[in-house]
Parts: sequence; structure tokens; C-alpha cells
Amino acid sequence: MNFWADLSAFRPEITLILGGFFILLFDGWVKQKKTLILLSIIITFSAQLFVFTSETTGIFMQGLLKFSSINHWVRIIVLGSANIVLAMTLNDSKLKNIAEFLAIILWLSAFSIMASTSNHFLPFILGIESVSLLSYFLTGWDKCLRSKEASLKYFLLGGAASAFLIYGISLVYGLSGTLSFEKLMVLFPQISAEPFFLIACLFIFIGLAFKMAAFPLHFWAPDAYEGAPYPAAAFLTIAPKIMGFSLFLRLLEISVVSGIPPSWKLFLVFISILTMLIGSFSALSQSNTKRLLAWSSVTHAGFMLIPLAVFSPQSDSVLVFYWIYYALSNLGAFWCLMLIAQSHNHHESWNYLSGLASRSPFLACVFSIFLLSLLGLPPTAGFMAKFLLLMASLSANQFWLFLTALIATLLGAYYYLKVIRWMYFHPPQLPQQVCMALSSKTKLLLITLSILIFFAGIFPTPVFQKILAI
Amino acid sequence: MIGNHVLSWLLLGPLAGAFWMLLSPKQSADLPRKIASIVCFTFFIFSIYLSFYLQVLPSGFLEEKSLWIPALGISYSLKADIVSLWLTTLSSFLSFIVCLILPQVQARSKQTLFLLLLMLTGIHGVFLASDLFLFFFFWELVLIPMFFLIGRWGGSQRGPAALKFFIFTQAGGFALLFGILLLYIASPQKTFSWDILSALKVGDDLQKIIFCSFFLAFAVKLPVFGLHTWLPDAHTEAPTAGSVLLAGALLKMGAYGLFRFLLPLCPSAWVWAQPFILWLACIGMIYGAFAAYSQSDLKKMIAYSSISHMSLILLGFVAFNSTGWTGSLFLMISHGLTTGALFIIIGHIYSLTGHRSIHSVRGLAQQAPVLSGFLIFFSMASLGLPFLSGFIGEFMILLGAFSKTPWTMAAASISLLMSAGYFTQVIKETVFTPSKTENARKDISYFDRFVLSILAFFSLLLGCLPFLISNPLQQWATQMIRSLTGTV
Repeated sequence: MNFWADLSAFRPEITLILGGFFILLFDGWVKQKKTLILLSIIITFSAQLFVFTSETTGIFMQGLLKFSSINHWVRIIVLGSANIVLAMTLNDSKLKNIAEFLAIILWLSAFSIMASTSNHFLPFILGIESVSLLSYFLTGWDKCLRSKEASLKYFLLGGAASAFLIYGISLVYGLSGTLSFEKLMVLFPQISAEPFFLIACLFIFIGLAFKMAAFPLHFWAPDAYEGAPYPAAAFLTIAPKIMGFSLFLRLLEISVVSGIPPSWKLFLVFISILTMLIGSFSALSQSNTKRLLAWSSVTHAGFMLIPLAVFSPQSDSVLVFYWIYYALSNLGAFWCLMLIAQSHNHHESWNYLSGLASRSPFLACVFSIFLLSLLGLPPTAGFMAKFLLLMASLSANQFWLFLTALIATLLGAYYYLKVIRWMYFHPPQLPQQVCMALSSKTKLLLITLSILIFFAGIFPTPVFQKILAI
Repeated sequence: MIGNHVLSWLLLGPLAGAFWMLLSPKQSADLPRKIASIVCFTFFIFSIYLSFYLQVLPSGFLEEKSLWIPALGISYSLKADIVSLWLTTLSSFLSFIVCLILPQVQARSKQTLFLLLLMLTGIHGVFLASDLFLFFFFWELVLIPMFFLIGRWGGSQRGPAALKFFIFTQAGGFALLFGILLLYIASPQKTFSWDILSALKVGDDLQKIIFCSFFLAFAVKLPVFGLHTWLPDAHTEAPTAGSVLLAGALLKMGAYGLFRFLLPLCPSAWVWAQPFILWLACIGMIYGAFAAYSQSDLKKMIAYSSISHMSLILLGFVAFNSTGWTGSLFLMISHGLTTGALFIIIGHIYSLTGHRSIHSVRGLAQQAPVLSGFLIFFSMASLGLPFLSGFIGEFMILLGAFSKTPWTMAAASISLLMSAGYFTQVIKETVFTPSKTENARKDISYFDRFVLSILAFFSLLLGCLPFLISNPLQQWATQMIRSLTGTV
């Protein structure tokens, strides 16, 4: 394969990267925020179009990058989320330096979909590092103390996680003499018995767990999300996480030919159970809704670990469906919360939610739909996605995984419904009542999101068939 | 005349009606309520029509099937026999009544009416589904509207009560899910279709696990003694509309699940668990009756009497003969009518006097003679006075239970005796004890009298002409038991 043919397979990523520069350039001429945002939405849309026209499988750049079926979906989901996030920024009145922000969102999505195609540890590290770097910027975007603190915490922990990752990779290189996944797959039976290899795997897992926000490196999530501006926080719960999971899936595939060692499965089951429990127990006691959503995203990371822990041929499709559901519901929830917080001087505590149903019935209704979907009740997509997960775990005879997932969902019923209870069952508490008027455009977008959620919950077959067909 | 999609009409019609109601113009405040009532009434008539149509049908059931999610072996399949159709009749009738009696504030809120119709859809789905996934889907769907109804319009402790209701039934639902998934995994065809799964022969140990998980889910909903604690709270805090539907339709979902799904799956586990369930039923009957006797809050009293009556239904189910089963099914319908009416009456008492405690409401006979009359009438119907609907069901259950395990008669008699005790106590305290203060005469409106008269009419009709319902039910029970004893 020649260089230009390889490059053409990455049209979406190239579009995004060049588009980011273009936005920065354009910033000098156009001062209007709306135009810039619309421009970036056009860029992501065209990238999305390129996704549908470019190849879905193949090996590129001399084996450094590999497209498998799941990457196609990663691209679709991340670009779709980027679109939603960009539309979200339209509503965010507080955001400063809008052009740079938009460029970083574009680059972040480009790097995360690029990184998830890596078939070699070199692009693997490069991808993760660049995504992390951009994430630190996004977290510290508001120049308030909370945001700065969040960014610094995120940065320090991220640095430590990267150190683990790189150390682990260097151990693998020392043992096998290669960084290529293809070659590692061949060498796997020989090196898998080495004790150092286990340490290396553990280190790599820790590095990835940081990106996935899974136990043991999950605790940065609430702080970072709380400090980040809403669109950034929403995007950080999707793009880096999906990248982390797809990379993890790829690493697991290395061992698939010779069979995943049972101890690894046990380890993953253990991690998944702990992540679900820690996420949901911590969410129980939150009094800040943004932090609650952050902990809920940790719980969802635990849920997403289930298909990896059971690792069956269906795992890919289960995971992809879960991503679609998670991206739609979580972005929707963050969006609603942003609209609520904005009209209350950026407070996220319970009082500001109370009586929302009477002040803004529309917002309360869609927010409830997103929360019920995150909880997993019919007829939303969450029901279907969780049902698939539970089915996968029980089919693989993982009873404890199944049971923990149920317990986590029951705990979820408590904290998600707590938000709904504040909105619907409590009378308004604030002395001066803010009446929220939403523009019809925002309403339309939120309605579209909720219709998508219902559609995926009631008629998942079209999506399933596409996923199974890949 | 009747098309192929008749069950889909019955299932999705209320939902379509809900959207129709949502889109109705804003100017006229009472239009949404009218639309909702018309929708419920239409489906009430439609269900009755179908249940009589069913009796001339040679196969004895209506069926509808199409693909839904073929990749997972999930189909959209509905099946209705006489039990499903009588229960959909009951639930759409109660929804109709609820639409009529909704207070002005609630009836003007489109959200509330939407939730009501959504709940009706869910309940119909539970009674009609013939695919376990579909069944579970609707089983969970019913939770959302009820949660909002209790939490939005309930009493002072409504938030915690709504949450308690939700979490209890959700946990029960998860037990159901566990059982369903185990069946799916055990089935060679990997399907959720009830027709295939009910013919499946499962190993004894697996049967026990599946039996327990199904039973747990239905027991929470029923509720069986030990898993009942959510019910008194939910009833006390729920608004009248919520209580009526909770007692009238939601509890019946658990009983329906027992009759429809439990036995064909696990015949050998049934033999193993029968004594245990028998004990649960007996304890529940007596416990519910005694607890009801000692309540001072009228709503709580009716809630505990519901527990007692639902345990009686469980007793008829455990008797496992056609008499007992017919009695249970009959009592399900009768209990829905009478308990619904009693909750409506308590709602009226509360709005007239401002009290719900048995010690504070006094002299109802002078203050509101018509309401007192209805209270007496439905108390009698509930405690099982001959010629009223409660009698037939209770009598048949006793008959059925006696032929199987004579000693349970003793427990059932105690509970029935106690029910006579608590109802007469209520009547004596609230109606006939004269009030210390002179209250102006203030009775319920003519419209409310009319609504209660409809309920009274049906209660009387079922009491005097029970064969209208009991004959087809007995036929169904005999047939069902015959096909089961082939396997038991």
C-alpha cells in the first residue's frame, strides 16, 4: 500500500485536524460565536460523511494502524457525540475563547478515533498522550479556582498513569523485543508465562483504567468533571472513555488466539464488580448533581467492563450498543444539567432542581427521560443495553457479575430517582424563581436526542443488524 | 369483523389515546380528561366484547405474532385467553373510573392523564404478553407511571413511599429477569417465546431456582407476607387514583403471573414448594386481617385487608383444583372492584371531614348518609356477604382449599371472621358513633354518587349472576389443571 492510499483511509481524521486549524484561522475574521460553532459542526458532519464512505477494515501505515469492525463504530459514536457537544456549546454562555475550545474538541475527537485504531504500542502511546493533553486543557478551561484545581489534579494523576503505562510497555518490549500487536500475538504463548509479563500487563491496565475511569484509577473523575465546563465534561465522559475501552479490547484480542488466561478473566470480573459498586455507592451520597453524574459514569465504566470480562464473540456488539446508549443518554443528561445550572448562576446543588417541573416542564421531562435511560427502564435504550449486558454475563456463567450489575442498578434507582424526585416532587424552594425559556432550537435538539433513545430502546433491530453485520 | 391485529389494538390503543390527549388543544381545560375517559371506556367495552367473542371461538384464545428482535429470539407475540381479557376489562374499567373521579387539579394536568394511559398500556401488556421478554418489558414499564403518580400527588411522605414502591418492585423484577434469562440460556432454540419455553423440560435443580426467582417477583407484587412492607406505605401516601389502580390492577399482575407463568415451567419444583407457599398464604391471611384490625388509618386498614385478600387468592391457587382456581380468579376481579370503591370512598371521607383516622371521623351517618351507605355496601361486599361479589370468590376458595388441605379452612375462616370484625368496627366507629360537634350536612355530589353506583352495580351483578364470569373461568381452570396434571 502506498502512502497516499493509506492517507485516504484517514479522511475523517484529517478533516477534523485541518478543520481545527481552519477554525483557529477563521477566528481572526469572524467574531461571532455562532458562526464558528456552525462551522465546526459542518466540519464534524463532513468527517462523519467520510466515515461512511471510507473503508471499514484493513491495515494501514505498515501495520501501525489497523481498522477492525469496532473502529468504524468508534468513529461514528465519537463524531456523533462531538456533534452533540458542539451543539451544546451554543447554549453555554459562559465559555470563553470559543475558537480554541472548538478546535480542541475537533482534535480530541480526531485523536481518540485515531488512537483506537492503533495496532502497535507506538501510536498507542502517542494517541493516549495527545488525548490526555487535550483533556487537561479542556478541564481547566474556566479560569476559576475549581477548574484550575480540577485540571491540575487530572494532570498529575494522568502523568502518573502514563508513567505506569509506558513502564509496562517497556517491560513488554524487554520481554518480547517487539511493540507490534501482530508479533505479540504470535509470541504470546511464550511470554505469557513470565512473571514480569504479568506485572507489565498490570501496569498497562492501570494506565488504561485511568482513561476508562475504572477502578483503581477512577477517583479523578468527579473532580475533573465538576471543574470542567459542561460541554467539556460531557465530551470527556464519552471520547476518552470509548477510546480506552476499544484499546483495551484490542489488547485483549492479542491473547485471544491462545485463549485468555482464566486468571485474567477473574481479574477483570473483580475490577468490574469493584468499579460498579464504588461508582454507585459514591453516587448515593452526592449532593451535587454534576458529581452525581460523574460517579454514575464511573458505574457505567464498570458496566462496560462486563462484556470485556466475559469476552465472547458477541462482546463487540454488546459493547457498541452500550456505547451508543451511554453516549446519547449521558450527553443528554449533561446538556439538561447545563441548562439548569446556567439559569441558576452555575450551582448544581439540589435546591436549584427543586420544583423544576413547574418552572420548566419541558426541561424536567427530557431530563427525566435521560435519567431513566441511564437507569435502564423500558422503553428507553438503557433497558435494552443493560438487558444485553446482563444476558451476556449470565450466558457466560458469571453469576456474581450479574448480581452486582443488578445491585448497582438498584442503587442507581436510588440516586437517579433522587434527581427526579427533586424536580417533580418538591415544591420550589428558592425565594426568587427563575423561569427558564429555552430556544426552540435547543428544544428540538433535546427532543431529537430523546426520540433516538426511545427508538434504540423499542426498535433496536436496525442497529443490531448493523452491529452484527460488521 | 375482528381483524388480525385486535390484540395490538387493545395493547397500543391506550398509548395512541395518550398521544391524542397530549395533542389536544390547550384552551379547554377539561378536554384532556374527556379524551382520557373516552379512551379508557372504549377499551373497557372492547375488552368485554372480546371476552364474549372468545367464548364462541373454538380455540379459546386470540393470538398475534410478529418479529421484533430476531437476533435475540425476541418476538412481539400476544396471546389472550379468558383470564387475560377479564383482567384487561377490569383494569380499563378501573382506569375509566379513575379518570372520572380525578380531582380538578390532577385532571387538568396532561402529564397525570398521560401517565394513567401509559400505565394502562403497561398493564394490558403484562396481561397479554406471550413472550417473556415482552412480559418483562411491560412489567417494568408499569413502575414509571406509578412512581410519578404516588410522588406527584401523594401525601406528605410521598417521596420515600414512591421510592420504596419502586425499589421493592424493581428488585422483584430483577428476580424475574434472572429466571427469564436462565430459561433462555437453558432453551436450545435460544428464544423468549412462551409457547416454546412452556414446553421445555428443565432439570430439577434448575427448576427450583427458576421457580424461586419467578415466585419472588410475583410475591413482591402480590404481595405475600414478608415482602409486603411497601404496600401499606404506597397506599397510604398514594392519591386516590393511585390507590385504586395499585390495588385494582397492579396487585393482580402478581396473581396473574402465578397462574399463567409459574406452574407450566416448574412442575416438580411446584411439588417441592407447595407446603411452603401454603404456609405463606395462611400466615399472610391471618397477619393481614389482624394488622388491618389494629390500624387507625383507614387507607392503611384497606391496604392490610388487601394483603389478607391477596393471600386468600394465593390459598386458592395453592389448592390446585378447578374450584379453588376459579374462586381465586373470581376474587381477583371482585377485589379490584370493591377495594377500588373503598379507596374512592375513603378519598371522599378525607375531603369531606379532613381526617382519615378511624378515631377522628365521626357521625358520618348524619353528615353524609349516601356516602355512609356506599361505605357499608362495599364493606359488606369486601367481607363476603352473600349476593355481593366477594362472597362467591371467597366461598369457592374455601371449598377448593378444604378438599385439598382441610386445616387451611381454619386459617381462612379466622381471616374472614376478622375481616368481618374490622369492617364492622369501621362502620360502627365512623358511621354510627355520633359526632361531638354538630356538623353541617355535606354529602358527595351526584356525579360521585353515580360513579360509585356503577361500581356497586357491577359488584351486585357479579354477586347475583356469578356464572357470567365464573363459568368461562371454571372452564379455563379445569382445562389448565388438566393439562398441568399431565405434567405434575
